[in-house]
Amino acid sequence: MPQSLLFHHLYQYRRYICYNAWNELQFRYAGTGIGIFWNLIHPVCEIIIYTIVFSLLISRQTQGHSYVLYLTSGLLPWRTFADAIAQGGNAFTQNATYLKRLAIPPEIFVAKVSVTSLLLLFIYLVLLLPLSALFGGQLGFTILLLPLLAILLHGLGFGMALILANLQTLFPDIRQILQFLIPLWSWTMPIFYPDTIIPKSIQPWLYLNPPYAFIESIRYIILENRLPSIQIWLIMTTWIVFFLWLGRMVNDTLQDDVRDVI
Amino acid sequence: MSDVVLQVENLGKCFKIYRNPWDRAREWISPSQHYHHPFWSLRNVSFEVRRGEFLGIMGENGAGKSTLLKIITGVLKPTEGSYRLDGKVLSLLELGTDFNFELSGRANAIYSAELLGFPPGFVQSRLPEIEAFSELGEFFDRPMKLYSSGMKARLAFSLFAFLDCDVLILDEVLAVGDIFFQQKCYARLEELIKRQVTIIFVTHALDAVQQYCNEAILLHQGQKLFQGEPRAAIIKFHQLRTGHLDPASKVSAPAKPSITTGEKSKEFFWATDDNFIAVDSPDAKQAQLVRYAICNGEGQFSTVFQQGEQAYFCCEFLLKASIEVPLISVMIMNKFNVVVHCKGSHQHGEIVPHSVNQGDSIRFCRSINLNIAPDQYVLGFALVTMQSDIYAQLNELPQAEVYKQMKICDVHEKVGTFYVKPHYSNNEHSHFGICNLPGECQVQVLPNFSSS
Repeated sequence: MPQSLLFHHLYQYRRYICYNAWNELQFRYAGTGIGIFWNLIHPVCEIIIYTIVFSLLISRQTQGHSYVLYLTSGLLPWRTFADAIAQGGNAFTQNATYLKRLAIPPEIFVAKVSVTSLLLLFIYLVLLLPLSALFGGQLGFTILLLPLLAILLHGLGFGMALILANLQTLFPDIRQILQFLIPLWSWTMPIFYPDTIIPKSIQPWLYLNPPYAFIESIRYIILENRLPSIQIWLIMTTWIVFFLWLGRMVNDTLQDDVRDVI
Repeated sequence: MSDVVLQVENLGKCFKIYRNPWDRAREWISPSQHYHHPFWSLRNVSFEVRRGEFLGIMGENGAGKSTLLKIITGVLKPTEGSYRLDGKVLSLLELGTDFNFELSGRANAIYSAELLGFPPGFVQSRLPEIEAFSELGEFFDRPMKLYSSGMKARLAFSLFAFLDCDVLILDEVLAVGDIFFQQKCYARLEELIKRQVTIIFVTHALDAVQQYCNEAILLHQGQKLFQGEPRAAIIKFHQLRTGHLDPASKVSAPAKPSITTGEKSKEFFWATDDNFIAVDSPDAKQAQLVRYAICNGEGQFSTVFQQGEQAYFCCEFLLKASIEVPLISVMIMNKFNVVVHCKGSHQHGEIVPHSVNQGDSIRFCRSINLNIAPDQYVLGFALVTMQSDIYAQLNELPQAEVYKQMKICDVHEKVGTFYVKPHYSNNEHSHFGICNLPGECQVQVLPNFSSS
């Protein structure tokens, strides 16, 4: 196999990726009256709905944390992650006009989506901190780790999306599968519902769900000022290395086929 | 050999066509099985281009032009063969579609350049030139969504014309924009050629190939059919259309002296063999159009004429059955299928024999002063026949009656195409509308005596 240029390309096109990611964030809702604020209104509505539903169903199971804060701190990272997967998986087909004509590495379009989602997560986290104080979260210096965790989460997302983007171009059915799989995925880990309702014996198995370790770490920094344990760090590293390696391999192997199909 | 900027050797590209996308996965699982249908979009293409050349690539739709260019620009990987590119290549294919319409023209110029691999800041130094060349004025700093399609094309061309490259690939870009901008573009291209930039021009516009290119390649079904002088390539291209590729062998038609010419003692104009385009119509029953030529006043094949220039249209029919009086006509249609002109030999009063035998050839030549609007035109020929006793009364019978008696032997409505170009300034051939009508004009001014 020829030497992989994935990371070289990402570095080479870093300005393009970052600029376009920022642009995407600004113009995603272009043409609407309040533009960029839709990025906030969507999650806020979702939080309100889930709060109403779950405070009726489950009460006092969130270990004394406010459910709103519990939900928000898990939902926001998940939302950006799910978005990165869905949009990143689409990145090649969406940018077909470029890929048909320009000899630019296609992976930068996936990277653009990941960076957009990462920026959005940064914004969410900044807005979340004052909210946290309001709802009784215990903030401490550990919040300095939040940006790192956010980057790691989207590094994982980039690896996964890169695989999906390649496969989706070759097999358009995957897009349809993802459309119902992603919402389903969010229920396979405690995001909306309290983690305490999951039996203790099953809890370790949750980490087989790649994004869970990352989302949980972010959540408990906000809720309890608690750093992830060394095991969690190990799990996260494993997942991220695995998916970046796999993504790179898939991308290198399928790139020529993808170009032919687009 | 250092001036060869692009060398292409035995290039081939095969696309795998799957009936169902999942068949690809089945192939991964069992690599020995083949579920795809290979499609060779390009095969065995070799050529080289030197610095400062203006190369035209011609071919019908699906001939493999885009595939070839995509390989050269690095978008696609060749399945077989190789190419060597000595420098940077820029491709203006379908220009302007990669702009971000929310951004201003200036911002798009900067980011497009970066996307094309130029170092950040490089384009900054060129911006004043680009801005001036594009003539966009204040629009240069407005979002591109406000641009007209012509403005987008202007911006794109201006950008590409001022980025440094060794090979510049253009397609029908220059068809957009007004005539003055087009002239400016061609002037800029000539400047680039002088600076040893190679230009590869992909087009259906044969007139542009003839005017600007110094070499042309003709692709057909993925193969290189011809490489050489543009004029010869255009002849080949026309032959492709008429379904016949080897004129030399087939046009050894019986070279009988032109017995068909009448007693009028003017010299019969007949183009030389190398200017003819062979036509293949094997299913013809009574007569068959063998070849035709479009020539300028010097008897050279041409498809581009100045307005008002004299053109010769020659054709040769081979009779497969004996017929009575032969009548041959030439027809010119514009792109809206409007017949601009159609006139037969009988309308010229040309004297023709009362019968022609099977195996004879009929040659017809018509000179026309192309006093028609600048445009692209389609040429057609027809051979009809008529009984000799009716032909004798041609001028007495009403026209409608004569038409009823005509029997079609062979008709080719769209056999070739040519262009008529405007003169730079007004002259006696200038006019508005689709054709120039002969006549005189006088002007008089009557002073208004009553008011003074």
